[in-house]
Amino acid sequence: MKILARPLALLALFATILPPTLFLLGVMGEGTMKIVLLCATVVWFASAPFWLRGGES
Amino acid sequence: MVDKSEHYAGDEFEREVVPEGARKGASAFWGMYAGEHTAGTEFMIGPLFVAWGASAFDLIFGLLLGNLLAVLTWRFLTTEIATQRRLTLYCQLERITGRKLVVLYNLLNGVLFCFLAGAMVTVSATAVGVPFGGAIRMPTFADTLPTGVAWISACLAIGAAMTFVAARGYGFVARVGHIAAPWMLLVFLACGLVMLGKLGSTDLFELIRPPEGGVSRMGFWGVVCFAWFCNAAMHLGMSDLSILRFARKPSSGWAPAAGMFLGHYLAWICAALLLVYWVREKGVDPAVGMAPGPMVYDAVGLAGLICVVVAGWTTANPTIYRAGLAFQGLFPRLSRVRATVAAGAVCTVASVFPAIAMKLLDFVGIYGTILAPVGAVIAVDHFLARRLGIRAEYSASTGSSFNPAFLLAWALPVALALWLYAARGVAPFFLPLPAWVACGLLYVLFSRLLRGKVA
Repeated sequence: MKILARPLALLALFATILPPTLFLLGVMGEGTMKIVLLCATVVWFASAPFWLRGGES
Repeated sequence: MVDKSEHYAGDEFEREVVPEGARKGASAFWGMYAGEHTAGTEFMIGPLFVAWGASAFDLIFGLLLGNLLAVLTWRFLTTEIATQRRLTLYCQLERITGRKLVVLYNLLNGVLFCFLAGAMVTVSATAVGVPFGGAIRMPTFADTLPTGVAWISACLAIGAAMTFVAARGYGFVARVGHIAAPWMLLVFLACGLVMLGKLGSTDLFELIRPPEGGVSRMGFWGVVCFAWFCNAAMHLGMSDLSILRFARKPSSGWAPAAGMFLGHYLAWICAALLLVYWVREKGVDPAVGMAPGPMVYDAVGLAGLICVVVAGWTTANPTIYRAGLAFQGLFPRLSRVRATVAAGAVCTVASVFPAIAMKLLDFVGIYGTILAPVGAVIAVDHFLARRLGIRAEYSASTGSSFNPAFLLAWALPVALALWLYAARGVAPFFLPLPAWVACGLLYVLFSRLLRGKVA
């Protein structure tokens, strides 16, 4: 999981900002954009804790 | 100097100089400041700028200048003292003013922390209420009292949950906040991009304009001063001595730039666009405004609601925890858990009243006006006391538990500033700097008058 965490988390961040950009450019619809954002959120919170270790001390 | 091995893990060194081994590099501060200044309340502040009639020029250049001045204050004032003295604000203050006045400072600090955390709970409640549709009437900028039983229930439930978690220590929440920070910032940015898409323009100068015929309550210098002094208690007021004393080098004092230019620049402008859209496309009166929850949900859906709740939660919890510590300072026999529960109860009751969140620009200015002047006394004591012939660290050097020069120097400018706000309608974000300067000058004057010149 730790090996996958970093690329998954980075992918989630990318998927958080890409859909709104595509929506702005008129390439993606509003409904799809919101669904992708929600999926990206779930992936971020599932993967980032294994990557970012801060805040423990 | 105390050897690090004598301390237990997580030691806060509350009553002593931070030892060499416990000091941290700059990276520890950059992440912390970025996370701490991307809070739920940013969703309130951006729209309030629009409601107050700020223009795109005011926001883009005013925030740039104001945030730069805030970073410079942190770097060349707070961090200089923090890395030379390496003591907490409370410890440093006690050495100058004596125990009794630190207790007074703790009381004010604790109560203001509770109100600030209450505003964060209010913002979170506007998101939690969205799935309930019309069952919960959301407050507007014009509301000061609770909007109904359902609203009160939502605030009490969220406040109770946050208090429960804070009472158990905020390590877990701190970790969630740290993890959520990069994602939260991108959700703010997503809101801005989506709003530009819905508004059909990327020209901020055309989109963000004061209402025609309306009176702007906040121009360029208002935005500059708000950005500079919204954290006045932390930099001018030296509250962040407690954090920056751990910095290995003074250059760590640049780290607040992460919070200022991401949270207080990018996020505020993106949040401002939310209300611009609702005013232009949905006919909302900018003076009445709209609660952040429904606006964010409309922009980016469920991910936005999660962001509002997480942003409110992760910043309200440490604030409740700190308020609890301040109350514990007042009543040392009170356990930390009970002190935190008491702080959480005050915060929860405050959250029911939307007045604080909806008038956040005022509240933040008043908060800085009351607490920041204390930092002027620390600055005078550190940089100027010997040159001006007044006794440095008065209470530590005389054994006195009460420093009347400090009380007079603090109380007089703050009382005058609060009168200017209440009776003359002066915007409170203009007041912290004059109050700070006056407090420093008066401390020198009263120290000389009451005690004479030290040879």
